[in-house]
Amino acid sequence: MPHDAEDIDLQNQNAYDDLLVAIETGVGTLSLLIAVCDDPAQRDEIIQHYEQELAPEFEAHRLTLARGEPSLKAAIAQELEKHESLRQGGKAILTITGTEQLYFLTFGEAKSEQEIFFGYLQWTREALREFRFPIILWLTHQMVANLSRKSPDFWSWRKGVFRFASRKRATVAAAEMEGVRSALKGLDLPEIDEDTLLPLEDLKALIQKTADRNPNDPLLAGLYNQMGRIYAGRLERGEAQDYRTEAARAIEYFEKAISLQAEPGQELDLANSLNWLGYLYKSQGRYSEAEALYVQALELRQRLLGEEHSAVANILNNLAGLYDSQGRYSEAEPLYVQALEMSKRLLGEDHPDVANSLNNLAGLYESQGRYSEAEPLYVQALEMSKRLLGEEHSDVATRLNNLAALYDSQGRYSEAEPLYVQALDMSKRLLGEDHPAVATSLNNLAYLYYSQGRYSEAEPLYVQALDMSKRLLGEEHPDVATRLNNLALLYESQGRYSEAEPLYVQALKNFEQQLGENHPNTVTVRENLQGLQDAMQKLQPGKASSNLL
Amino acid sequence: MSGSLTPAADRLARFQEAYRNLDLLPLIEKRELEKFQVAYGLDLLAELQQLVEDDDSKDGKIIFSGHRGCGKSTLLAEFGRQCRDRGYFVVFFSIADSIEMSDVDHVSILFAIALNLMLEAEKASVSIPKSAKTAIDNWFAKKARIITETPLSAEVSVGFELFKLISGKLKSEASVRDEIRKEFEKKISELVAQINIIAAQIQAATQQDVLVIIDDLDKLDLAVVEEIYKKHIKALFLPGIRIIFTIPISALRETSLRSYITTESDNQIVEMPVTKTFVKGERRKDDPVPVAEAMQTLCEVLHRRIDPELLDPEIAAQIVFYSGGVLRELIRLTNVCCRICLRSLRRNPDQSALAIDPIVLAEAVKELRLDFEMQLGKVDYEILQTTYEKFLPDDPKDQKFLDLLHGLHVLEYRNDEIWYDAHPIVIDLLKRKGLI
Repeated sequence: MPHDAEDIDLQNQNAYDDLLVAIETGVGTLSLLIAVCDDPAQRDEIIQHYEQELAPEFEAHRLTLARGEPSLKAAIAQELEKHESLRQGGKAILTITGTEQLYFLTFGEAKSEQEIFFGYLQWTREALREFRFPIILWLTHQMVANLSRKSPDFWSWRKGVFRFASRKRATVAAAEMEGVRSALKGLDLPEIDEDTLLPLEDLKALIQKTADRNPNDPLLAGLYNQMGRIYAGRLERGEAQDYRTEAARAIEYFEKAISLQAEPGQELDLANSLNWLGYLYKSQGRYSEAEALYVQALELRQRLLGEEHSAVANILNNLAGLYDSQGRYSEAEPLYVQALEMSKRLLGEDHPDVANSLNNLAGLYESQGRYSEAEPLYVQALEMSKRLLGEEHSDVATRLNNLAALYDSQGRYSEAEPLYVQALDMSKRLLGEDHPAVATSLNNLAYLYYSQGRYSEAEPLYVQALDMSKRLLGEEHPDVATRLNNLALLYESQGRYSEAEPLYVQALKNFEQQLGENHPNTVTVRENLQGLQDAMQKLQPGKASSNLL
Repeated sequence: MSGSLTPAADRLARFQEAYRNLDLLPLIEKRELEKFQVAYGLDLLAELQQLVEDDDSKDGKIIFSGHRGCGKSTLLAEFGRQCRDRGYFVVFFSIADSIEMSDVDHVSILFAIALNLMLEAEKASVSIPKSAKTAIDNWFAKKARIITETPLSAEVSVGFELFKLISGKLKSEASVRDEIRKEFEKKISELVAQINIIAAQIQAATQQDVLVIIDDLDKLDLAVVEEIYKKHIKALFLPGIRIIFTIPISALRETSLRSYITTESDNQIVEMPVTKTFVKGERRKDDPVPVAEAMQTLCEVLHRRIDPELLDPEIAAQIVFYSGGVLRELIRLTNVCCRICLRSLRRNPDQSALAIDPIVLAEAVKELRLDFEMQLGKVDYEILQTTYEKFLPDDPKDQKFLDLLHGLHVLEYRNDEIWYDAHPIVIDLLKRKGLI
């Protein structure tokens, strides 16, 4: 992970100061300084900052690489041509940006722009010796990993790597988060594998070129599907610049793909797109639409791949998760069990997918109050994830969170708290401060405090979680209703009835629309509201028969 | 000079100087050499010397290989100087300075040899008979298609600049390289004949044997290396002079390629091992005892560049430990330590006694650990685990393993046998991940 336990601000301040030291001290010699930042706005801010700080002593030059022939050496040589002061060897800093825009695809050429870029770096580093300046090459985290592999000699000449963590990773979401327990049940998404997906810009350009040549090109469906997966992956990993817009894009692309994949012979591709679209609908709370898609995808896969196949297990899990979210527990359980057994048979006892299935089943038991059955499954899933994925992984954070929630439900508060805190810290580190999973973690910790009567500690966390969910997921998302309910409950417990009531009303309206009249969550909120209103009528403070979600 | 500085300012100045001294580039220039050079690889120098001297045919070819950053270029440059002192006419050049990487092939390498022979001859003012010189000039001008720009009559006056001009074109113009390739692909013997003619002129004029050293051939992609050394090694070895070629160590681990090279070079392969700071297995002990001589050499490398007051011998030994014996990594780690101290001085200038301490070192190691970690995937970890446990991977020819070797995640050591170990910082990483 690019950022460890360190606070992001401290990390960035250190990276910034290190960069300045390297620039100032390395004056008069070639210094290849590699700066890493994923957020272009933040990057530009940093560049501006050091340029100002070093002015007027250092002359600032900004270069971008030529498309097509992206040679670092050529770009610098050109800059030298233009500026006498550089040729005279004056103090200067050369900042190079734009590498993230280089195409990864070849477009029929022998090499892609990225390959050409890396090839030049590897080879011309000898020639760079003549440039006696600090050269600051800005890359994204993904690019820097590639560079180290593809230009190993250039890499071995680096004078330092300065990693800036994104302050705000306008975010994502994906896994499910309903109920205070917000089990964040891991969905099986084996298709997300960022290494095999093309970068967004490449793919956009490729789609454009393909469609220009032939609007009915048979390749387009696959490209749309891939585009949808890129957006879904960004949502999943917390890389989306704007969650709602990108979620809408993802849906749009899968819908396009599906419309083209209706042709015979493309059933498996169709099933894949249906699965993805179902997943996206579900994360939007559009449950009934998601169900139809999952069922269709399941039928297709069973027919084409047979009953016993990991892709079938995958959909069973997703469908079960959907039922679980809707409170259709008795329908969910056999599907989860079936998926778990199948995964064990196909993948062995020890596999991330098996951990996922265990986790999901545990969540279901927990929803039904079958705590003693849930605990060993959660513990097993947590251990397995840690072992297979490492301590620092979003799945591990999710599992910690789930186990904590279980202890919380059982009143085992002292065991729950450290797990929640760990999960929250890890989610922040891995996903950024602004992320639905972080909102869930905040919510859960707040609930724990609430359960213990630590109201003043609970309130700010609830408010933060609510704001974040609204912002990231939209007012209509069921998570927002959950948060509204929880905050209302807190206010009610504090006797702040007039503040609590409108929150319940909103939450109820939301649940009725999104989950239906009879969903357990809807029923709970209705009861809560009723209880509050009764209490208000009697003007009798104290807790009514409210139920938390 | 530092007399007028306050103690704190003096500390800053010393750290800045150390930072600048700890540069990663190979020592080539005389000034740097005098200041920083530490005798190392003496046995290698002797081995190379012997191969060159004992070569009665006077046209032996030597293959030189070693890990990235273990000091090959510095050592070759030093060897070049020694040979010059012993009366050889040494032509030392980097292939990267001569040709665009994508166009390196046996033809362009041979052409670069011819060209660099002439460049060196001009530089050393070797007096070649005028008529012969004109013929050679004409040959180059014609082959490099310079003729249209510089009419024959002007050539003599172009003189010295001609080879620089061609050299520039060869480097930057793909069309020129294409022309040359087309010209000689089927007529390698003509190109080789020209090399031999030039070499003969030089030897005749200077009474010195020509020795060509080509550095940086080991920076080529493995696929290109294979193409060149597998299919065209005979052509490359044709010139009637002594030549030292470089090759990536991972290519030598490819058995079929190695057998070609062994046969063609008459087993004249010299491999530069990583400095073995610990004997096999010693690192696994709780209190490992380093190889005294290696430790001393590497500490000496550091102390040439950094004031002992800034770096306690104890910490220096730890840095050597973490370097795995790779020179460039040794320098890099110390450089990062200096940078961290400079950052600290920047924030709080009144630290007149600041030195590299274990906390600074730990932060520097962490930074490099991230650099290593970033490149690793699941399969890599498995290979690293096995290599750590058995000092050998399951399959030394596995591309993934060769990549790890190439990326310094795995280091190769040797005494009577070859053995491997994970880089000490990678070992650190494996421990943190609970893999070992």
